[in-house]
Amino acid sequence: MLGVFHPALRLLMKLQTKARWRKWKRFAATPGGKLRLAIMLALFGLSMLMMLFFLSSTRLTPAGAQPLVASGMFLLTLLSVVMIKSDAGIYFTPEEVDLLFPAPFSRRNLLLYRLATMARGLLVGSLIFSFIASMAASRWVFAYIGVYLCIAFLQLLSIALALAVSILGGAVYTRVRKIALGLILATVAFGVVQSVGANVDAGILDFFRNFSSSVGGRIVLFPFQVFSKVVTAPALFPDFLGWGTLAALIDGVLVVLILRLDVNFLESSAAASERLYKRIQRARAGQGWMNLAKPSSRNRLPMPGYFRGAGPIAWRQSVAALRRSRGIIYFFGFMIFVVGVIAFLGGKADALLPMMVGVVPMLVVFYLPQMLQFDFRGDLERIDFLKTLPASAGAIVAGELVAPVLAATIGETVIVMAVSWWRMNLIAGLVICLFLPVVNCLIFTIENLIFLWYPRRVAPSGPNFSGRQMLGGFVKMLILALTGGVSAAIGILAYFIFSSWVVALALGWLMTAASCLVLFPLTVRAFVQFDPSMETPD
Amino acid sequence: MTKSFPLVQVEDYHKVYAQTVAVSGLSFHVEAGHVLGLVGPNGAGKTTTLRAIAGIIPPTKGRILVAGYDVVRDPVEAKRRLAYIPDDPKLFETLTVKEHLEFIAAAYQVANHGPLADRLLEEFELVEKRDALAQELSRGMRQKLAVCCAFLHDPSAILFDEPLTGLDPHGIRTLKQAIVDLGKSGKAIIISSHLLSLVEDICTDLLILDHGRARFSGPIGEARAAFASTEDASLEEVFFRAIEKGSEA
Repeated sequence: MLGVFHPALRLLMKLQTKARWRKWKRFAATPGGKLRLAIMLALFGLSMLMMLFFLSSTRLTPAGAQPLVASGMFLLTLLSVVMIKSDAGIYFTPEEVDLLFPAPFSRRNLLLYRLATMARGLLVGSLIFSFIASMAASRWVFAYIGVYLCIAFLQLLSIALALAVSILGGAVYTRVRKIALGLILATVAFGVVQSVGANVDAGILDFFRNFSSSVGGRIVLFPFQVFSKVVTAPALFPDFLGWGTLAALIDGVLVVLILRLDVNFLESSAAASERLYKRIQRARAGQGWMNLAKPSSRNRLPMPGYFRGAGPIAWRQSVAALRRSRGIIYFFGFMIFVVGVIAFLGGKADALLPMMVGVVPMLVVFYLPQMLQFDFRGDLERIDFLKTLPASAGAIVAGELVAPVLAATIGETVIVMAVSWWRMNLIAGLVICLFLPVVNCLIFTIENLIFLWYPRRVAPSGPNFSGRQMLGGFVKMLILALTGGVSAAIGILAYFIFSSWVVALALGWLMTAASCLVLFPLTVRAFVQFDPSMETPD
Repeated sequence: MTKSFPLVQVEDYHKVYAQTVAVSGLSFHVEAGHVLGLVGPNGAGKTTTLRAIAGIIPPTKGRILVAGYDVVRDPVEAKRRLAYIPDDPKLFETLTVKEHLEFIAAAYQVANHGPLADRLLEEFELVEKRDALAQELSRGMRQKLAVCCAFLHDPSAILFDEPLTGLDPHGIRTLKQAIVDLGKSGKAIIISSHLLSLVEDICTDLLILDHGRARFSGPIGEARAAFASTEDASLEEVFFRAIEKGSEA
């Protein structure tokens, strides 16, 4: 097989690997790079430790985890099939499309290159998942190899299906896909009915165990049991070697099938790659939810007043937020569905409350600011234009901040009021809602201030980009802790002096608002000093 | 033609990056009714100069005035009288064509913009796309929309960076004619382009930049007299002679 692997493409892969190392080495060579690397490693290590600590409390036995791993793999495969529509194609990066497609390489050369880069990428990609999977494995290396073979299977299946689209044609593929999905879902439904009927009060693990032993479950999970048995193999021989060989054979068959399917995939691949590249860019910018729904021009808003130039800017961002809101709603709908299903199947619906108490601050501080980039962060490409507008820098900054603050406040108010109504504590809900506008104002001002100080554009990968993101997050937490800490401290102090919650909350609110007022001129200054020609993203 | 006075005035403009001098001691002006062609090799400092006039990047040294307003000291008034169309205009992907014009009208406080917007959309063949989102437009249509946005608020000075990129033949003809008409109506126009034929066709003045320095600034006729052997010499010949002479110096 390596015989047909074009030497130039082999060289390209070698150079890419070398370039990646060089990038890391250069990054670590500067004092700033060393600092960022240290922060990155510390944060990564911390998050891994937290995850391991969390998972260790729910340690699974290899045998007990098998149904869960197999069902998870099946769901991921089902998702791949659902996502691969009639316009699917094999993904190549834009530079690969521009430089390799017109070059004198055969289609098989390009396919082999794609498979080789995929295999190389999985070496690192599987590492993170292997830590999670190791909780259900007797040895970490089993988990790593099992995860590697499993993800490879999913990616190979996607490529095979994309080629199938080219062979069958869009219309036939859609029909076949619909029938196949219908049959699979009917089999799953049969299995679910059987497993729920077996034990209505069972927890989530029991549910998956019952499902995997039901007739429907046995049929749909059959191919995935192999991979789950690699991860959960109790011993090297015969379990791991036996199941591992079988899993590798399954992947091998898919590789041969892909290489045998001699179909001209270049056109569909170029189009699909362009689409997917945009999606990946959005996902890397924390806007993956935008991929869930196309914006529609039907949603409109009236133009507000001029407000020294802030009005039209706020209108423009608000219209964008409104038109992208379907994606956000789908995203939250999905999250609520997943949490609800887990709580219901686990028989612990009431456990949702502490989960939500933990989730809401995370949502306010981390997730929503990442999702609602209807401000300077989403306008990096248009800062030139913003600077040409006949409005003062203060008005432009104010206009840019309105939409995300409003959108976040509305979304959070709905969630907080729903939870407080559910728990019959409307007063607490109302108090939280009063704080939401100032807290959001503070958070989005900090986000934009850091962004204007330290702009980051989505880059394909690389240490500088990750380092910048992590350092940005670190600075944000630092400013937030400082301003939030001062507000909280003054509120608590006021409570002890006046023995009144009302005074304490009012002072806390005022201090948070004052923090916004202090940070706003800094943001305006950062915008004025922002020189787009100096902005050098990775 | 209206009475000539400088609508764009650049005095001793310098732009220095950490180690690199992008533009050094550049001075020129564009009077009302004049169309200046800004030409030069890659990296000459053309876009840097345009972006400085547009108030996007601050000059390291020097003074830039638009319609008498300093772009650093009085940026809002300067920008109110200026339009800048970059070589690859970045539009707002989720706004429609019509809404772009609506937004520009609001931002520049253009009263009753509807009829003018309609006329511009018709002129640039965008009427059918008025309700299309910007992300659905082709490269050329995006360029046309950027031009419509620039023309909507009736600026005194207009800066074009490679204005013909992506345009179809009809679009090219319409835009060229529009630029000539705008010049005649008393606007000051600067066109940065590598297309010397475009500059030759519609420009009255020429600024040749090389390595951040002006090799020539003045009417095209004077450029011919300074660098070419004959009066009907092509602009290409003038351009290369000016660059060669600059290199020798």
